[in-house]
Amino acid sequence: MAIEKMVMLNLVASQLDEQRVLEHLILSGKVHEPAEMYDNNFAIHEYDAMLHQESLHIEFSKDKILSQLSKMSNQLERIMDGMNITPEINYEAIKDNYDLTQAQSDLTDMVSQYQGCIDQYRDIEKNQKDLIRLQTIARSIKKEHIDLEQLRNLSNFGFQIGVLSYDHKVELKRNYENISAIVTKIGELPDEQEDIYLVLYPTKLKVETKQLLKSVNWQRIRIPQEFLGDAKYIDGALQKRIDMLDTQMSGISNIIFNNLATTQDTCNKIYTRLELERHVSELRSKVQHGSNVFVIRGWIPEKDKAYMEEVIAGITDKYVITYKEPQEDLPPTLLKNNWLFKPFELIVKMYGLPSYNEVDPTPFLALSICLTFGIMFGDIGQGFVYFLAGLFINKKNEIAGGILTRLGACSMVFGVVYGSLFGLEQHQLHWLPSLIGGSPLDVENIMPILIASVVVGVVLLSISYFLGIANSIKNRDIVHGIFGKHGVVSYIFYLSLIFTLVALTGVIPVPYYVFAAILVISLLIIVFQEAIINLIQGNRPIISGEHLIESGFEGLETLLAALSNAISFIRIGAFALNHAGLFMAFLIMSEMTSSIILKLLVLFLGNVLILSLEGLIVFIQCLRLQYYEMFNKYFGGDGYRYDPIILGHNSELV
Amino acid sequence: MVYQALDVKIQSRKHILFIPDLLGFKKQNDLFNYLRKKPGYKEYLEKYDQQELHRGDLEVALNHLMVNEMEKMMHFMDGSYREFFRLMLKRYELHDLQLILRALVTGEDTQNVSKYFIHSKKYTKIDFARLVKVNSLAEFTKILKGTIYYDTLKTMEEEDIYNREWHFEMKVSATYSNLLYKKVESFEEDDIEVAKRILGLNIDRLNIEWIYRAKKYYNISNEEILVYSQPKGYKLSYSRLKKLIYTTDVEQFKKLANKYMNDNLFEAGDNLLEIKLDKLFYVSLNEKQNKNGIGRVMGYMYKLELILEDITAVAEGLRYNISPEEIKKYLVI
Repeated sequence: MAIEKMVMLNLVASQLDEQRVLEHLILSGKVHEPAEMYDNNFAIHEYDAMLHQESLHIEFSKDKILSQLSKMSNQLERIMDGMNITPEINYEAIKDNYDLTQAQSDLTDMVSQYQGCIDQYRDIEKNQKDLIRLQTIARSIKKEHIDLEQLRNLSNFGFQIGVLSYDHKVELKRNYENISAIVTKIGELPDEQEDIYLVLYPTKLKVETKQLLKSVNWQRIRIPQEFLGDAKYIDGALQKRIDMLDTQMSGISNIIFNNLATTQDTCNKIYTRLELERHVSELRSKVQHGSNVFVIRGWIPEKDKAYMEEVIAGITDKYVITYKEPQEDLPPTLLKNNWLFKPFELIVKMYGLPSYNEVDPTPFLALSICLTFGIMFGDIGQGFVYFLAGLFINKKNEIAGGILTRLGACSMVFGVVYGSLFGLEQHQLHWLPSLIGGSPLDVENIMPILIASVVVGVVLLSISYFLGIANSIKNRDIVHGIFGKHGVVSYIFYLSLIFTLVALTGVIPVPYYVFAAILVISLLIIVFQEAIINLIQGNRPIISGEHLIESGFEGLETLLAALSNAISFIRIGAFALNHAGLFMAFLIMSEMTSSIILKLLVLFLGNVLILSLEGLIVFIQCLRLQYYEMFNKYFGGDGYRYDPIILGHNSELV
Repeated sequence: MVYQALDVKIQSRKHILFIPDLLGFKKQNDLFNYLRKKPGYKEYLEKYDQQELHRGDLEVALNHLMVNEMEKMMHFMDGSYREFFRLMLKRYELHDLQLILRALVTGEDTQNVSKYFIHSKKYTKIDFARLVKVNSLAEFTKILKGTIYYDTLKTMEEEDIYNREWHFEMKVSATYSNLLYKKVESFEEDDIEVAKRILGLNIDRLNIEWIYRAKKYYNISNEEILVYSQPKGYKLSYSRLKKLIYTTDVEQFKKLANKYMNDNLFEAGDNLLEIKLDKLFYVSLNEKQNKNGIGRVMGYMYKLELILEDITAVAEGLRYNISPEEIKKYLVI
């Protein structure tokens, strides 16, 4: 329930093993590449000297490898495209020394076996598509008696059949008196705004006509000689050819798809290898090289230390691993929460990821959001609906489902407190359990609920202040922890404000001016913090005007914030009442009719409305309380994600 | 639409339009150095090294400025107004598509042209990264399926790109002239009239230039010239357009064109026709009736375009040591 501890792995090994070491580091899926690979040259020189070896000259050219890889992946893509295969990363497949040479030879085999067929299939498919289009056009020709064969035999006239859009037809029509051809509509294309036209022109004016047609985006339809005839003949001849191509295609597709499963496996293997090579060469160009050793750095979770050593030891015995605790550079953040809190990580991430040395707010957020949601939306029945919906969604979206089930469960718990089942209360259903007795809207219950909600707010805010102060201490930022906007002093200020109000009501036997005095003192401390800090540090307590104005405003802001914080949590109680009130409206409506069916219908509708609308609003209010009232007290959210190199994840590399 | 915000914005950008003493620069570098410091321009020119600024670079930079200005204005619009300017931006997209097409037929590396791209990255829906990788017109066409370019492209063959270099540009321009005109219909009442008039004036200038060029240099029939002309001119209605095109020789065309445009278009010589037309357009943009509502915004855009052309002309003139008096002839403003 916290943030996973990270260490910086520092691995030195011989360049002879570089390829394999990097491969396994990537395959382990644990290494997060640091922003800066460079550490210092000292280690390299030291280990170079220790190895006492002739300096190695290992040829490595990233560009060369990448171009080979991209050539291979183009080939692979073309095959997979032709066979409708989506490649998958499969670590197991390349485990037993399936290297690039092997991948290359497998790929060559596959290309020679399938590429020809695939190309042929594509060609036939395209041919068939063209014929089908031709057939649609032939079928759309309304004037069926036109015999194209006869037209072709005219000696002084030429003709074209083609498609023309409406706009262009209008253009031709407006200038028809100047046009050198007969343009006549012979059919309409279904689903398109274009019609089929026959253009007949004297052979002498062939060039002019063709040019003119070009200018109006004329789409000429060429009907091959063998299909020429009247409409019926064309249709028949085309159909015959299309059927023939169909048979040809199914013959070829048998060859292509014969061993689909095996091909898929091979493709996966090659694909995985290619991806791995790509990442390795990427990484290889970044690691530091000495004359015969290389050094790689990377963040790994502390618990995986032993595993990483095992991995490396499996490859070579010439290596040195050192670990460095995080110092200046901040490690990436990996949240670690149990199943109960896990879904709520999403809500935290929507605001920002906690940085490595911050307290993970997830558990506190999970508990407090459940509590506030429960109070605002307490109903056994409606909570149960949410719970079921959560279970249902769980299959599709685990996080959303998880949040919904937990909120639903809390709603049910508070349903018992309020005694509410689908909005109906003890007054309607006498057997319902109700801890507060009756309804939240009973006169004697309203004030206690509102006060309780403020108390909840005070508790939650206190915890927020504590967490914020704890964070400051963790970061060794004592000044901020004490005098900061959300530090100790401002917490004291907030508390004394609350207690002044409480004392004014006379609930506690302490005169209010005690708290008011603390209030004023803490406000003064905030305003004059500059001087006080100087005093503590042993300097002269100089107050500069600039700082005074700044901290003056800070004091004012603290005052306003404390007020609004105190009041803000009343919404919890208000929504609890509102929840009951909204349903009461529907209850009254249902009482206006005597028909039992209508009654049930109205109550049903009321529940639907509450479940959809009010549920949403309450959830938003919960988020609001978290993000605005609580997070800003203790949560920075400046962390960055632990994102180890995993094949197929970093798509921008590919 | 509410114009207060836009008016303020335009007011604050007006300094871009104003370059005192554009002809006073002695050398090309003086002009660059001046622009490099002038607010509004400097963002686009700073990245170029002054020794190596080519004509192409300056034009690209100024076009970026133009596109960016238009994008800025679009922040203050909504609904059909925004869509209207979105369409206006398509002109720059068309420019880039033509670059790719030309590279495609000349066999240049299409990837190289991307540095001359000027389209609005923010508003384009075309995947230019994919487009520059194509090897044939067919592939090019396929990627553009579903855009306004597709209808024209699908009937084109590779040879059309150089035999009919104007075809693609003219067809697409006509398509979106129509679209612009349709978009204007959903403007507010007062704006419709102004917007249509300005669009029409712009189309008039383009049409006259096109017909003149086609008649003089291209060997194409009158029917084709008519088809390629843009619809919905202001002074040139369809019947006038037809009469202009079906004039028997260039002299007659000039006479008729002068009559329709109510000016002597060819007084400064045939090669200055474009400048003359631009000047006329500039004057109409400054007429009071064209400065209301949307007219102000459209006017600002067109004027900016003209001044940028002037800057390019001056830079070019200085490069070849042409005297200020001579350069002046090529300036619109």
